[in-house]
Amino acid sequence: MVVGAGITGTAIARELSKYRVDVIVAEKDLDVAGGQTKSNSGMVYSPVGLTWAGSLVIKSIVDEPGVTLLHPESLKEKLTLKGFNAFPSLAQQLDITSYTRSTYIMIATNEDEVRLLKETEELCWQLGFEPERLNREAILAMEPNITGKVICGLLDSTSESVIYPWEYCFALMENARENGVKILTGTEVTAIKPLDGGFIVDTSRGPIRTEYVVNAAGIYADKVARMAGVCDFGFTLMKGQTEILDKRLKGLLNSSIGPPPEPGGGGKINPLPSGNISIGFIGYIPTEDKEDLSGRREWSEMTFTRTRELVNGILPGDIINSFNGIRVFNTRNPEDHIIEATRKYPHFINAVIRLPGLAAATAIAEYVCALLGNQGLGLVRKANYHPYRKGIPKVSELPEDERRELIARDGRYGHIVCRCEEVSEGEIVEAIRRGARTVAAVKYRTRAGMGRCQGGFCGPRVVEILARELDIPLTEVTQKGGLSQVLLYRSKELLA
Amino acid sequence: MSREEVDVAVIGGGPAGLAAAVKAREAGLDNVIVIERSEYLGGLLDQCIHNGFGLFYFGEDLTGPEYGRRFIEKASDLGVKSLLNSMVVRLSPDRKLLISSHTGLTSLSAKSVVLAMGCRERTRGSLCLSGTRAAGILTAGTAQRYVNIYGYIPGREVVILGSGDVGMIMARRLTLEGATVKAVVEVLPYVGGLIRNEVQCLYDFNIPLLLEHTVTEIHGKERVEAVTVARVDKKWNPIAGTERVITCDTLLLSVGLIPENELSRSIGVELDPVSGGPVVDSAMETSLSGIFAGGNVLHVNDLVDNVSREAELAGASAAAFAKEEIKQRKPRVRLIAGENVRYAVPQVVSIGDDVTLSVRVREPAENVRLKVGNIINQSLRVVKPSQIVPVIVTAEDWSKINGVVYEMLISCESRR
Repeated sequence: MVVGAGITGTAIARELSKYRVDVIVAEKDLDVAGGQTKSNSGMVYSPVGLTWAGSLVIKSIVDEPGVTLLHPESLKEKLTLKGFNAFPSLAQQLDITSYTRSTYIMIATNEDEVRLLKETEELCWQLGFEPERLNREAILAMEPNITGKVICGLLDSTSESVIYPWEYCFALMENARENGVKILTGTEVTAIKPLDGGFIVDTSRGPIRTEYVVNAAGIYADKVARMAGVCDFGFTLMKGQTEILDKRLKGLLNSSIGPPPEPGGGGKINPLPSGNISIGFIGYIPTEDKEDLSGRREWSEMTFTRTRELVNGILPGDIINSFNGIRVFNTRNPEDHIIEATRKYPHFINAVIRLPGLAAATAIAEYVCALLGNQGLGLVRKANYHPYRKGIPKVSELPEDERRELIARDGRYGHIVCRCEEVSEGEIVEAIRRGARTVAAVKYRTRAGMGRCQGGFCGPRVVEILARELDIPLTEVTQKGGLSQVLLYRSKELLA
Repeated sequence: MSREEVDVAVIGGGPAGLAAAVKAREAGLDNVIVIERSEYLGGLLDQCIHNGFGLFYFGEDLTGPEYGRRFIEKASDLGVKSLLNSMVVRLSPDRKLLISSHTGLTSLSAKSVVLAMGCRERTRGSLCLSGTRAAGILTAGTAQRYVNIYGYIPGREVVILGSGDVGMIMARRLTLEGATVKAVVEVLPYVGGLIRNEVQCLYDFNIPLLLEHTVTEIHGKERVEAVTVARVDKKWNPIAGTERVITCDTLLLSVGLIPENELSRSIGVELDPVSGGPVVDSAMETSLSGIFAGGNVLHVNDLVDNVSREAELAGASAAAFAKEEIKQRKPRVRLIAGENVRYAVPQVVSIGDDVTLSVRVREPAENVRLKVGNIINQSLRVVKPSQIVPVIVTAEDWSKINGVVYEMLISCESRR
């Protein structure tokens, strides 16, 4: 049993599905990809690059003072490099259409930042990477909408790419399921009892007997490990906030840009595959509450102001939404993953991931499989494993003739439900067929409601389609599971 | 692939689109088509089941569906064609349209086009409200659709942020449905919508109106459980110590409407950053030849009656363009917003044209002089941002122009 269906859990499930092993994934939410997998910048980057160097500086706030920033032998670095190099072919196998190679320009706009830039450059060299130095003219030639304040910068055009992380997670999940993995959503693990070398795992849907447990519960990995009595780490939590800007700004920037990093401070302005831009300057606010994903207006304002200092052409009103996420650092070794068979119960594997986990996910999965193999799990390849998965067709991106063909096959692909993102009824119905049960699940699979009106128009229609396809009353349709019903009463019900 | 030719293609089948199509058809064009993305004509009128429509246009007090019905019937009697459940997914500056529907992709080529896509509501995301992202936060118009079209009530205890017209109307509507509206919270010292709604929807139902207040925090993990409201200073910053928590399960937002101009932008129509709609001339023609605009896509109107009036002009002009009637080239002036004026539509006016300007003021004022260059100077007792000031300019007014004029200041000056 894999506990948790984020990027790590689904990657492990897919990896295991290559073998003749019975695999079950228990996820407490009604959908996969709900935790840290959803709430991050979507950057897939290599440890031999500028973002990595920058993140070493930024994340140094969680380290003891005097600790070296470089960890060349870390598991994190090795697995990330392996995962990053394998990513292009994986994206093809799994039809991850958001996958886009990108460039990053770190820019300095004052003398302090010029100094910080120099320090980051030296760190890059130590990582074995040589970013290209750009002067003001070169930067403005590449990015004419950067403000004239820019003095110089560093360019990295080899080590990064961006995806929608949830798309990656859905792809892994669908492919794992196709290959025989059982994904149980809405299934919360409540107790883990060791028994005869295996475990009885109590869940909100009843007990499940398993020989091995892989703990990929993300931010709740400590809780799950504690259930089995194998928790030898704690978590430090850091909250962040990102704003999403209107698609109208598509093409404003070709590269990600941002100032050079400082411990705990940095920022990045990322053009997204959809044409929106994400801006994040708030990343490391200490918090104790794992559920605290609330936003702060003053953070939005600060982020927006910083962005407008760096880029021209962004107007008030261009923010269409914001989201918050929590970064997790384990207290045993904040610089690295903890991926190991626990000493007390070797059949209980902790897979506690230190950011970044996106690029590394498949390499982490292979590593976990090897650990399971070492602990006696028989890893015999399936003959009929197939690695390919097709995404939901996106009518807005199809060439006209293919779009015509699709509508001719199924008229629902011609009926546009979400006008901002041009999403058809066919796509929404297909998302539900693939497992979407909530408004949010439909949104992350199809982009319906992700545009500038934020579901103002399509929201009621999506609720209606969910109720129809799932054959439930409208009052049972939820935003994201639990008690998050969109509509609480029928007309006249409150008058009775 | 074949491409059907039409005279006038009207994008949007709400009040603006219908009025424009009717006028274009009345001008004698055979092939006038309305393209509507939802399953019926009339746009948002069908969910506006309250009265107050048509007082100016028909001299009658109608409900939204009644008002809409009159135009739908007229359009149908005149033989205006309509495509329902059909969305224009591509538009080109040379007036070629690609339309998606159940039946496939349809290509149209139009001699002229009327943009009548209406407007959308500002959302929680664009307000950057602090707090959780629980379910139960929705715009007033979305709530109106749930209640009046679907027959479902979002929640039992409601706070409404913003006092736009839809918000106030939903305050009354939800009260009539048995919900409790605990407060309407408005950051300004006056309501955002019409006075008649303030009286008939809030005062008459004893719904608390908190002026110069805002919502500073949303609480609740899965569903909204409460909001914190606080008094604000003149710069809209919350005043510490004035916060109080109001328990509720629903937060409605009625904080402004935005003209929906994604198609316009995609073909490079010049937009007015203040009105949010295309820059148009006195024939309601946009910066692109043969492409006209009318109704809330142009600027957010106060009354549907004004939407119909503006869109009729757009429809008539689109018909004239399609018939290749030669327009007399006249010198044009651009209107510049001056004191206490947010915007005026049309923004560009041909000298000599009879035209009605729709003027939106910035702040409420009493005993003002409304001036357009040196050609109009009229006194008005009261102006409010919630009410469009119609300013009629006639040939006689234009005769006061002397010399060559390219720009005219439009202002609403308080007498001091």
